[in-house]
Amino acid sequence: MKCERWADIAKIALGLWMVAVIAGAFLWVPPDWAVVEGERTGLGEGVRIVFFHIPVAWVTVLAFVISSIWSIVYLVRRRRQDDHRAVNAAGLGIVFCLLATLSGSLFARITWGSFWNWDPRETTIFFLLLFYAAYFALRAAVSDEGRRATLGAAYNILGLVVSPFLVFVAPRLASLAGLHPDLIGSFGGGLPIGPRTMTVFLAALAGFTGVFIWAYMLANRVSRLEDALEEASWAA
Amino acid sequence: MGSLNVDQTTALWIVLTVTLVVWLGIWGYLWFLHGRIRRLEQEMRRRESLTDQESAHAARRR
Repeated sequence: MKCERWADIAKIALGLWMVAVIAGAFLWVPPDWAVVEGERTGLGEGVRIVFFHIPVAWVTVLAFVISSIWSIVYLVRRRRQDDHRAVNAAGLGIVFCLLATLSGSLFARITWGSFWNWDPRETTIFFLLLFYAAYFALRAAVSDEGRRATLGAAYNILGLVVSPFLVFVAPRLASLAGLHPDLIGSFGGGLPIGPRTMTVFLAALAGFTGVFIWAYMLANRVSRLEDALEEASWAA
Repeated sequence: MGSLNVDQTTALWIVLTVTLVVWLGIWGYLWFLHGRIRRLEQEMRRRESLTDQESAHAARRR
């Protein structure tokens, strides 16, 4: 009971935190930052999208890495619940990956005039979506539960390398340098990023991570309920 | 594509409002889901304890 009360407080705190992040991104971050940075990237005021686009992309990688870790745990312990945790994380990863793709498309529309340009970063995120779509297709193709979990877990281990590589490494390779502005690079790269901008950016990273954790815990609780229901029906 | 003629400050406020509405929608939905899952878990626990009591009764009668 006490635990549930703390969970409720955490949920309300997260709600208010994200409201503060959104208000901060539009009202508290100094407009001159948006002007300087927006001019450099060609985004204008649209540069404020970084407070949402980058955290969502970060959560995508986090979700996929967590999913791969649970797949490894499944292969070691062979517990059904571990497979569910891997699947739930991958599912949420896809949702956040789609959000990153959509916000990136808006980014592209403002900067380059069209929603999709096959820029290296757009291409790599497309491959990432394909990789996890294939994971779910593979799982859907196998009817035996144990085999499905084992095959899925074996495939998903690749994600531990694939997702960080496609999001963080491949788009930064010199030979693939595209139109996408390297905003993360600019945070450490001598441009005048004021304390307010950095505060809102870090708060957004923490907030989106909190949203992911909450949604992930809910998905895992639903899986546990489904398992319990199945066990009860077997017992009956 | 037709463009809406609003000044930059108004545009900023519009985007801010839309983003807030989207976030509050997501938050509200998660809150609602959390409540439903919690109720289902409680119901499950109640049924489990009832089943345990029934089997204990049956064992005693035997």
